[in-house]
Amino acid sequence: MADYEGPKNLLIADSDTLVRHALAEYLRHCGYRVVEATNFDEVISILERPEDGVLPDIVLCDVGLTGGNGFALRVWVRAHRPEVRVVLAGNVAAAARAAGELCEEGPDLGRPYDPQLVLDQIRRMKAPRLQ
Amino acid sequence: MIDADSMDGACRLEDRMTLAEQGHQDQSRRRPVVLLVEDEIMIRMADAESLREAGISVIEAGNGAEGLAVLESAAVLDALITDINMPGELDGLQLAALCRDLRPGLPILLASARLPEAGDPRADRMLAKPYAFSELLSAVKEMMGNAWQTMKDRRTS
Repeated sequence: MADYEGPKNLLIADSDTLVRHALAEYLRHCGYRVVEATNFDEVISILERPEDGVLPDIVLCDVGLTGGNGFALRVWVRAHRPEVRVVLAGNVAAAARAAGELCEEGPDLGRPYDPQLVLDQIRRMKAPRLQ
Repeated sequence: MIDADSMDGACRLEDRMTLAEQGHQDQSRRRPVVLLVEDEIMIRMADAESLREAGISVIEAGNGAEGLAVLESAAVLDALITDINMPGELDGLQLAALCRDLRPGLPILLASARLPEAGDPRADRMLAKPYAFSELLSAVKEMMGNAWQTMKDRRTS
């Protein structure tokens, strides 16, 4: 960890609150600092005025992000923040796989990871609530 | 569902996750979970990060509709913090009213730059913006009361 020089800061952009939360929590436990954006405008706000001046290294973005889709975001990032890597995911399973890959290359190496865990967690949260 | 026997390493990792939404039977050993509904991204980011540093799991929602989706889900929650004035069809007061129906007994904190002078029966606590994070954390701990202390004690034991 001490000599880790790879990406440390992630931005997760997904308009589904529970999906975003599950992905973000998982990646926090993989050692990343993770901020969350619920829509396109929030992503732009964060990238234009990053908290503490620290830009995210990677944006993990749902293709169907509300307010402007993931492809439009990638175009914006290339034009304005070319140092930031954008990872697009077309559905929840793809997002979980991408999170798994980020976890494996991330700050806390050696953690066992199964993207199915995130999917199971999302499924449990989205299940109808028992009254 | 996860087969505990076949996912040894992965389950150890899962144990270190929030545990908030995972349906574990021993709910008292998990971190407290707060739903934070705030449309101002910079305020939400700062509050969420500070609450996490204080040991709280935070589910972030950017407007009333997103907050409602979480209240209607199976996600485990210990408190709701919501801004009152938000764009969209559902403001914080309406969300609090729905929360009273959907999750009776869930502590609710309402925050606003323009708090209703007479208070609001839907709120357990009200906080005037701008507030210091210490005020927010104190209010959350107070309204969670014994539940907070129990979780804290069991997690550190």
